[in-house]
Amino acid sequence: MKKRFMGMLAMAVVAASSAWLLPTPAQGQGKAKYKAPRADDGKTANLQGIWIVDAWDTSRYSLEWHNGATNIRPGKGAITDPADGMIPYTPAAHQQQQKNFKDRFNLDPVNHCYMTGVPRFVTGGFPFQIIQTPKYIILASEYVHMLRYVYMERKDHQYEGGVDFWNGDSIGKWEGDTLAVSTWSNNDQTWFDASGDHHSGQLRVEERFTRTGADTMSYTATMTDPGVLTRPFTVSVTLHRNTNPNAQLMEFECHAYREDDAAGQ
Amino acid sequence: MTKRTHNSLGSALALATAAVAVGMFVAGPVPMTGQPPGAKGAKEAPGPVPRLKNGKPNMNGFWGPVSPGGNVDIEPTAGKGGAKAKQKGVIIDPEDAKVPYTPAARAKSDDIIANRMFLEPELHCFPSGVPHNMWVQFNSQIVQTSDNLVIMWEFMHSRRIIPTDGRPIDLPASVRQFQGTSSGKWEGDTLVVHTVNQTDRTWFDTSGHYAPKDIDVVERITMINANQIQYEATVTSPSEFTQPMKLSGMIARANTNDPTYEQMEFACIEGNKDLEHYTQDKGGKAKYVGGLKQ
Repeated sequence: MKKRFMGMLAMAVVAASSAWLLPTPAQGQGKAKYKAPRADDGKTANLQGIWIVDAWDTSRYSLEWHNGATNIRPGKGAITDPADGMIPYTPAAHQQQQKNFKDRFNLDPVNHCYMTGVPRFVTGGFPFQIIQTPKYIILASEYVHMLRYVYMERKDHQYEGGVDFWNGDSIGKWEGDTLAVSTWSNNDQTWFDASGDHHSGQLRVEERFTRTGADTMSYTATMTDPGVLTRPFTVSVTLHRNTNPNAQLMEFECHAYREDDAAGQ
Repeated sequence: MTKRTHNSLGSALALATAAVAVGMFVAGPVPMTGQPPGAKGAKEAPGPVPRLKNGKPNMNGFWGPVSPGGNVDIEPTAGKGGAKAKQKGVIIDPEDAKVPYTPAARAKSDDIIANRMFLEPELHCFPSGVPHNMWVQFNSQIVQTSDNLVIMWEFMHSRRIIPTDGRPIDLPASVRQFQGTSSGKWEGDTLVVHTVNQTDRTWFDTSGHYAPKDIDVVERITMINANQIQYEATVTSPSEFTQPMKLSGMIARANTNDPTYEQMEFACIEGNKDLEHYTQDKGGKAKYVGGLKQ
């Protein structure tokens, strides 16, 4: 009995210590002790696998704290900064969001099967796979076979001011075991979520991917956009890995299904 | 070959295998269909097969489509209006280089060509399916790791993510995908890829030679030097082919003169207007794109 009691006590102590060790909002840190396995290069943290945003997370419906509505599950927002959890829109941009929300069935780009843009690529609720080499990190989404190329050796946003992209132009670098991705040259056609949260073509996104365990990853994205925002804001969500060793991304060819619907099939 | 990270026996075997592959290629019945590209001209012999740390051929880089392919028409076409008849394409068996459709399947294909070209999958921004995706009109980029070979085409940002661990395919027959589901395994220096579970909505080309729903595709992908990949495939369809269809072509390295080359984002469904050309008055029927009536 004594041994068992001591064992339980030890577990309690461990649990308490672990709780203390849990990082506060410090994204990019995760559990301090977790050391991710290495990728093929033997150096960088291996982020590969099929990932999906936490099922409890409601950021796919709205990044902000939000009420329920048709096709909108209510819940806590994913915004960790500002502290009120709301997008720091200019008054005009807030009005636009309200309009978008009312007409979201017609206006949401995802309802037309268009590419999501960033960060909805990650927070939108579809699985995505990370494939990693020293020069390129590929993010492949199940939704309409979207692809993002993260260029690890390019230092500049060479398309800025010329070409824009649905999913932006991404360059990346390693900050320790955290993958830092900077995405510029976004077009102004995508939304952040299903509630009409929008941006201008001046949007820039800074993402951080950090493995926090064998099957979890911390993801943060900081958006700056002088076109619609009075200050930057940051979202933070947890990603989970598909642990089936034979898992493969499926195919979600949204526009084909819409054709089927229209044809009554 | 400055990095000898794998053992020397492996290297010797690999070189021997490559040599045999090259020998077979030159001596075999398949005609040489493309000189390796290079800024200094095709006369310069391409280097040896580069390798990953695990010793497997390293196909990372940019590549052209399988050539000869069949993107416009997989079958030889009679010269029309004085045009030169098209040479044989990617089909090497049957000998007439035509899709070995059953009579009923041939009639279906003929009907598509005569009356239903609005079904052309790429008009609808549908992924091209396997093997058609291997000879679409644009180049591709391969990103290869120790456990996956990923082929990403600029055209419609279509892609294939092929695991190379020989995993079992566990999709039930009821689940269908445009690109099917693929599993790859290495046989020496050849990546053998098995693909099943495709839809009945893709074609082998853009000319109405549709791919039967039950096609089973086995591809053999062999890098033979630094700049060339030999592509072979066998396509079977128990219900709509009279015999297996065998394919052969070469994939040549592309964009070698620009080390900073990048593929652009090819948005397709976003702003697709192609289907407008296939309205009812032109023999089609009203179609929908992204839920919007065209």
